[in-house]
Amino acid sequence: MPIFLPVAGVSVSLFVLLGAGALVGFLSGLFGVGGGFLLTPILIMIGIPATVATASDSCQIVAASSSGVGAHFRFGNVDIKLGGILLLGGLVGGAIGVQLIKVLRSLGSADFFITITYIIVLGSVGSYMFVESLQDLRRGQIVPASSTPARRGGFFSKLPFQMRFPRSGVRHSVFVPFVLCALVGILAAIMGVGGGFIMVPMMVYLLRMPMRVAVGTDLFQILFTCAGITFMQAVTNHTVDLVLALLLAAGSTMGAQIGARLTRVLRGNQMKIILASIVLLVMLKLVVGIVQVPPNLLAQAKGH
Amino acid sequence: MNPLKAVVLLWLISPLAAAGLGLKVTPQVVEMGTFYRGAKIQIEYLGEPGAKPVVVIKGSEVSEIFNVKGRAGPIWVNTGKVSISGVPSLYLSMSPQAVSEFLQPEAIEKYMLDLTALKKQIKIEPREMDGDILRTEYLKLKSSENSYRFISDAVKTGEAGQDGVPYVIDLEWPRNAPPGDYEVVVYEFRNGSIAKELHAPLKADRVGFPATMASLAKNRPEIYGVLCVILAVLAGFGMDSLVAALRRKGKSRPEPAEAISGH
Repeated sequence: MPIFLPVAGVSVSLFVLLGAGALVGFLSGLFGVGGGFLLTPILIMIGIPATVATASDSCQIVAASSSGVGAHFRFGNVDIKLGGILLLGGLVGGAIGVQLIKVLRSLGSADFFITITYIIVLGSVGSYMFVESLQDLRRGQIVPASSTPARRGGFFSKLPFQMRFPRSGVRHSVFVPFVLCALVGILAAIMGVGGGFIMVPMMVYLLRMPMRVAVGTDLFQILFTCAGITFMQAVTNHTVDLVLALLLAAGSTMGAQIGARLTRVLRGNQMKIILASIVLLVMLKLVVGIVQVPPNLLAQAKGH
Repeated sequence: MNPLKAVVLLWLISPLAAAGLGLKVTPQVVEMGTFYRGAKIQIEYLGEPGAKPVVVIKGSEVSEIFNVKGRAGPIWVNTGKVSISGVPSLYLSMSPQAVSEFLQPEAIEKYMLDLTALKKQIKIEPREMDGDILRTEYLKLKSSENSYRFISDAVKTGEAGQDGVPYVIDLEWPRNAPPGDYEVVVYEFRNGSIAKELHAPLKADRVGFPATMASLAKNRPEIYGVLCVILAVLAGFGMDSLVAALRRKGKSRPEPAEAISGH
């Protein structure tokens, strides 16, 4: 059943849009990732202009993350206090990253730098998570999704402005989540993604947050970030297709519910190993993509 | 004859005469409504016996921005951006047989009737990135999207009558062709030279709900942006509340095992 998208100006199958939305929504609810890395290429592949695909993707992430946040909030998985600090850090980091990209573009090495950053970051995060979770599974260690990893003392605990985050069951200096999230924000801006893939492992391994709370809190900050992006894209580029976004959202909100519910069933190390595998697959796809001769030397620019 | 009657008669027969002797495109406007799935277009044209018509549908000229991939050591990365212009957004050429069989290369180039002719029209900015490779890649891309097509057996020829030979083309309008103004051009060739050239407009336009939404997005972007965020948040929380309510309903339904165990 075809449907005509008003802003994109193309007619596409309704079921393809619902299916694509459901897939990314499922990943979003399960792992707290926005899914932009997957959805934008799918949309371009089905004929949506790249600029509209990117902008509308942000809009559907608002819907999917709202649905995910709602579900996670009921399960007690959203740390609003920490999420607020992460959001601030992410915004500051994002602004720095955008400036950094401008400098790199003027030097003519931005795209090379972005691709290599992508591969290194995804490769390191994915491998670390994969190996660690595999070792846990081999040892037969069961890590419930709600468990808090052992807290580490050392340098972080000596920093000023220590604050307790009861929902996450951790105590940190305000600077720790802020600076770490700013670093993720810089990387996210350079890589042109929401940063969920880096943010969730960072929250689990460095902030020692339980996996489920990390996912819920990440969705919370994604909701605000993408709402801002959606508004700016609508005003500046006029490229948000609301019909496209709502159809994707219809699929993704359902997918997000299933994903969020699955976090109650899966154990922490099982979730980590699945997320690690997806991260590694994305990295592998990137490696193949840059080594293989492209089908065409021209690709529609979607902006950065 | 009464002058008033003469004017009325002339007014009545002129469209018919235009349709009979010239070019007729049906429909003249492709309406893109909510459930638009492409359209069928019929182009009718009355030509001279023995003539070879070539019918071309052209989109307006657009400028597109592309990332250019290039090798950096062993890997392929984006090496820069180019702006490509000078060629139409859509180009469909239909003829009774391959144009090279009845036209000289000069005529093909002059009327842009093959890919080689189109290639020469492409403008690439910045100039230092212009070259045959990128032009060829652009045409390859447009052909793969079905935006540039050359159909050599698309023109059906009817029985010759007193007014000439009717030529008919039934065309599936490409579903991915964007809204905009298009032009239908008939080149009538005789002995390899142009004998007649006819033009007719064709429009692809949003109607109904898509038209309202597109207009809002373009003319009231602030309102549209806020609407997008609010509706997306409502859709998300709405779906979550619906699922939660359904779940509660499911749980509250008494089941024999639950009733016995008292859970």
